[in-house]
Amino acid sequence: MKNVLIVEDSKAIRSMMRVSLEEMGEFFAVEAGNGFEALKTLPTRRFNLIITDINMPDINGLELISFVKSNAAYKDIPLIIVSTEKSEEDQKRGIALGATGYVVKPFKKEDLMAAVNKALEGE
Amino acid sequence: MKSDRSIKDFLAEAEDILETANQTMLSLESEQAAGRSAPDLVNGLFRAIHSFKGLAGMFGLKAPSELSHKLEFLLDEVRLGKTALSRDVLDVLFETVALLGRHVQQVGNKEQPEDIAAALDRIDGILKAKPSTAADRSILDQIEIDRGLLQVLTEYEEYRLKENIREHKNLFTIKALFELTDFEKGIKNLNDVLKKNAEIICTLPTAGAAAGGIGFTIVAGTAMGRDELMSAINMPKVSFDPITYVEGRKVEEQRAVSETGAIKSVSNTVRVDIYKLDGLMNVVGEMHLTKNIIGRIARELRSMHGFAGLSVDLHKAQRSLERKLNDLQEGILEVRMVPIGQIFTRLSQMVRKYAKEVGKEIDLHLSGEETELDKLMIEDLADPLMHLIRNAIDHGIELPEIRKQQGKPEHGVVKLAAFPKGNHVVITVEDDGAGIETKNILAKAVQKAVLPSDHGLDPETDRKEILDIIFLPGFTTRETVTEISGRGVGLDVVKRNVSKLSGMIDIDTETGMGTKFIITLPITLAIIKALVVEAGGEVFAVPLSAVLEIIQATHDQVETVETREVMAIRGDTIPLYRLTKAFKLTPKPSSNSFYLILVGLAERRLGIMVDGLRDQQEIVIKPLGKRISEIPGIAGATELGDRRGVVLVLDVESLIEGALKRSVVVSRQ
Repeated sequence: MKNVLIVEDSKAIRSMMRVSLEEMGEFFAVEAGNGFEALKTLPTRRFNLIITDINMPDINGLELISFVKSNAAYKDIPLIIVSTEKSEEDQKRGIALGATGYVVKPFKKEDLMAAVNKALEGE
Repeated sequence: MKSDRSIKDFLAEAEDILETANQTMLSLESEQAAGRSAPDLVNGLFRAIHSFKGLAGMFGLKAPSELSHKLEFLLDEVRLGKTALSRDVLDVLFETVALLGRHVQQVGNKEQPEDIAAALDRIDGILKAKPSTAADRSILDQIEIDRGLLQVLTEYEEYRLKENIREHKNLFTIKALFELTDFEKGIKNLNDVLKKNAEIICTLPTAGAAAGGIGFTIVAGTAMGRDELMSAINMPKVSFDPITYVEGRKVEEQRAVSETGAIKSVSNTVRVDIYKLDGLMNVVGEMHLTKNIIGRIARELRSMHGFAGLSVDLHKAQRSLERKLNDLQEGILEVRMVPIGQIFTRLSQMVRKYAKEVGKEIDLHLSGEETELDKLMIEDLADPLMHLIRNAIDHGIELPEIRKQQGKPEHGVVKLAAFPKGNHVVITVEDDGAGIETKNILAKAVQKAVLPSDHGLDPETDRKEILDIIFLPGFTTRETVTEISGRGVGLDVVKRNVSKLSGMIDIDTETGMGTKFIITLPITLAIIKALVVEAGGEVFAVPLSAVLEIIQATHDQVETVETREVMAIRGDTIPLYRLTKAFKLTPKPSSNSFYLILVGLAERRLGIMVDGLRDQQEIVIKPLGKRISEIPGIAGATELGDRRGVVLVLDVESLIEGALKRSVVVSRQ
């Protein structure tokens, strides 16, 4: 069973992502509604993957990625960015900070799955 | 993925987001009017539309997704300073959000979404008019800041940083350390107090002091100097490092002005599905029936030998159960109640838009926004209220030139008020316009064949009856079908909607002074107390809230005036209503006496004649099937828990209506 942390401020989209992942059978998804919740949740179990939205209030996705990558305990966890097409610049910065890939909203289940599989290939 | 349940999720979240967007726009409008820029509000609005777009996209809703995408683009241009927030732009924002609101309703009603072509064009028009300026990265070179921090800024955060530099604000790198176990409170405190004194540009989590810790590095901009800021924050463990400007400029002006911070706080609320609350109310209603059965058993036991003591105990238990049920019921009712201010907000936006369209200046006064009403009823009120307000703006309020001639202020005043009155809520829509002339109503009524030309009504003495005519179907005061009455909506529909909520609508008007519509509604339609009566061998339930008095009378007291039966009660002539006649039942033969249930709402009275009284109890009014529910006089059905079966609940309001019409008008129905 692989643990996935989903960081996204829209409850409805979070639920959809969790359902998609769990339908694949091998994932256990934990939801966080913002950066602070993500920080609280990270130490609670060994996560194999983090999927994070970029545009969130207070701590944005880029700041979360930077924190994860500079923390010995979490730096090897692959990260996927969820963003909207307009934020190309933000996508680039996310990849530059170490995210392995991104999906663009609105995305189809297959796109999410492809990005997830690619991110986990490295493990 | 598009099951009914998930569409409900979409609707709930979408409505929340748009409500936030609307409130933000209204705040933004007043800040603009006061000459203040409000980047927080613009960003808040951007975020809301961004969320809405993501949501609509994920649910495959093309029209709202496309429109919000465009709107989000516009808002991004505004928040990045590429498009100014002018009056025109604000108007387009309001209109587009209103259209998105309609899309959400259409999704909920499984209707086709409204066309977006015109809305898209309007936004394009604005975007074309403003040339976008190229981004200027070199501004960031003016400060000495850790390049690592710059890399984690989103495009928006970078823009805000540049703005702060352009305005020569004092910039600080603020570092705070917390324990991992309880950092949320600490960082929330720091954020709250920081937002009151500065603009937070970004928040970066970092490693903590030790293994179980976490840190935050915040970049903030403010007009305050370092010492002033530190004492304002008053958290000794937090470090403040000023970010120096490269040319050596560090503006230390202690401006008295403090930064405006965040907009709204999020309250601790839970979203509840109103239909689940309906289900709970049903359960409570059924518990009332069971409680009544227990009461009956207690009474029967009392008359049996040897069970007196037991019967008393059972009776006590029933009383206690009754109190608890009432508490529970009140609790659930409280949850269903929402302040009417919710629809007031929507209505005030509509007023802005509509007033502009017809070229009139309108001042909308709202009062009693905190007055609470059942959530389900509030939704059904929005349309009738909108219609009344549009009427006031369109027909009531005169054009500014005419008002000036009459010595009235050029701004027309429309007052929307709500206040509780016992078990009811009264909502009024008032304008200070031209008022309605009874003469004109009579003329129009004859012209539209709503009244025969020999109606015999006098404009002075028959005022009340004449005013009622405007609620008849087929009567509108304008020839042209404008957008308001576009779909054939007249005041008769307003009245029907109000009746469906078991309410009444009255009108007060004075020529040259204005018009006032008064809507009286019961607070909730859920569980009500009712009087159970018998007539012609059948049992009926009469809502207690409408019952004024119960009088025992004899048949010889009944008089007949112009084919209507009436009775004199303390000097007033009260029209009577025979249940047996209305439902074609055989009246009880022998008795000379009967009971008169005197009911009334607002100023109207009616005496319902029944053979006997049975009981007073709580009932849950259940709706009848669609066909039967349109019959005036019947509000629904209920069960009394005594094996009698279904009992009809009288709709007192429509009975009063029906009885008060003159036969002349009645024959036209």
